[in-house]
Amino acid sequence: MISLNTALIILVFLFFIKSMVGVATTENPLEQAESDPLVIEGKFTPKTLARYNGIDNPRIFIAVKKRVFDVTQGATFYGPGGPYENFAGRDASRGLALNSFELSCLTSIDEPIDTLTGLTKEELESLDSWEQHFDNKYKVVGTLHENNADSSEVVPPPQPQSKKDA
Amino acid sequence: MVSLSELIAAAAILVSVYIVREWFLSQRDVHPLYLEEQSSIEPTRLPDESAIYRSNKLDLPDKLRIGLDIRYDHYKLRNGNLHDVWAIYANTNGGNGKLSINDKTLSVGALNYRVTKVSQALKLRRVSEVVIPFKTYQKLGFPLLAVILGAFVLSITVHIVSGDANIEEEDGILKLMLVSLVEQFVTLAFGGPLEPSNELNEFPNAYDPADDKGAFLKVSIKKLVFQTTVEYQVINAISAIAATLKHLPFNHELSNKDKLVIVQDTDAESMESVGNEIVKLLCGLTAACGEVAIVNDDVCDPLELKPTVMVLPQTYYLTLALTNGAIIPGGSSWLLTLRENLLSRGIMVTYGSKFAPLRLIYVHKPMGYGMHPLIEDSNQARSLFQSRIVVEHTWLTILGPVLATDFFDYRVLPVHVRSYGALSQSLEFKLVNVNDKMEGTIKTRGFTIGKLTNKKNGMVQQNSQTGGSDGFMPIPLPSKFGKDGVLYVL
Repeated sequence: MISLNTALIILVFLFFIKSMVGVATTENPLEQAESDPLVIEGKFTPKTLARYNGIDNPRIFIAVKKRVFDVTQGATFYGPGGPYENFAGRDASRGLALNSFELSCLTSIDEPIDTLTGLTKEELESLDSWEQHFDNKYKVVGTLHENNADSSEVVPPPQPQSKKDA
Repeated sequence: MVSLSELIAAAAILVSVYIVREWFLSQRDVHPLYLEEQSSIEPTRLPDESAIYRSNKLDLPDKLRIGLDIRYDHYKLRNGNLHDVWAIYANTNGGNGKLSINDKTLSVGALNYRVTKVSQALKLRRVSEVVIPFKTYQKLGFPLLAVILGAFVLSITVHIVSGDANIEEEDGILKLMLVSLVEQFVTLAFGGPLEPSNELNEFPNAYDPADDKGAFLKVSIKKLVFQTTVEYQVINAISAIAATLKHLPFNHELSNKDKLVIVQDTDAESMESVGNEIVKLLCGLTAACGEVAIVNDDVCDPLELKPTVMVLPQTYYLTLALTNGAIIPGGSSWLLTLRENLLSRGIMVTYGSKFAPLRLIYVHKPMGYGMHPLIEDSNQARSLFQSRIVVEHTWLTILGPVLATDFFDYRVLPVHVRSYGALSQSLEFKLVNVNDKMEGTIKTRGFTIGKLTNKKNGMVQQNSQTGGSDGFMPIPLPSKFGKDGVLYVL
């Protein structure tokens, strides 16, 4: 009769053989992901833009003069805990013009887009130089439109995160 | 009743087996996650298109590989040109480098002497283009090689023509190549017997920005009334060299310890191989390989040359693999099977190779062709030659590989496709007209794309492969990006 010890040895040996012998096939890389996690370039409203703040969505977008930039690469600055985190997912134009990171410089996402009235010439020049900086460094992913813009023209709701987003 | 000693013995065995298993897995070349992310992907895409994909081996994620980064004037960097490439080879290795064609060998100094002579003669005669019939190119010898290199260092276009080229074929190679303008100037360089009596161990490399520009290679295919010509610029060559060299991981790059053997494709129709072979030759020179050898006759066995790196056309690769014992399906011996099984787990066994010092095989395959099972799953050949295999997929209008399997990619994929591989570092890709499965056709743009001209009865035709306003050139093949960032041509 085979002792328990022998049986264990055989089992372990079989496990080893099974795990190391035979061709290991990789998971099918062409299997469809649940959904395409990429944002379709297009039109944002203050409300749809707000999701891209590095918390609700791992990507970080900010709007400058009605153009939306993907600043995810600069997450250290614009992401949670960064000095410019208040700008994430928001229209940062007035804040950049005033060189102020305060929440008071941001327009509520329910209100119309800031028309930048009341800014001095120097402040507008400051904003232009910020815009140039963003142009040189980050990719434009869309434009900013009023909340009541045609719903067919705005960016679709965010998709589930992919592994790359994690 | 199980005694305590039996339990301890069983536990000891269990632990031992676990340790052995973990040790085996620790021998993997790379962590599996490395192969699951082979591209960097733009965060956004346009409707009906995929996002733009680039290689994830780039220094900066959005900066394609463009040049060799040659330092000059102490701190400036430039992309480089073919003059630099030859100068690198001629001036390094202390003049000990060698070039071989079949069973003939020349020292780099001897070839440099001839290249210098030829380039002087080409310059003197103001030759603007060197035309070489494809059949002559396929039987490349030292005189022709010297002329090609002599033209390259002067940025004179080398034009390889198939079909009915208007060139008189007399007296073999020397007369052929040089074409309309030519007198017998090559005899200046090859007047005497081909012996390494005259050597020149230095090649001056004064930088001239003019060397960075212009077409260095043209390939023309004539069939009946149709002629297709692809013109490659110097920057295409330099980018293709850089992308090819940088495709290899650190510590596995081409170096002066390597013997690079390039087997020319002698298939009468295979013009696509021309660009790939020339890029590999230039890679060997740029990396200052100890010896660069070209094989183009049936007598010379490339394996007998004891290469460390081989470049093979797919047909030759299949023949070589099959004649050396790779059998489909399954392996021929338990040892081969064991090595193959370990490979599928990412463990390459190189100990005891009978093909040593062979360490890498490049297999060249046109993208549109179907994949042979032995290429699709190259692990059997890998375990046979105990060498890494990089399968490069090419497209006529693009110089060098468009897709290339990763150096460490030994995965056995449960899919059958025409081509697949990581993206060239000099190109970026997207798919257009994508369906709900995200399958579409390829569009690419970058630094290795040549200029295509189609003619019918001598009249230039509208080019279907012209890039759009965004500069992307279509490659009309149905494809899909995998979750691993690899492009699969379906």
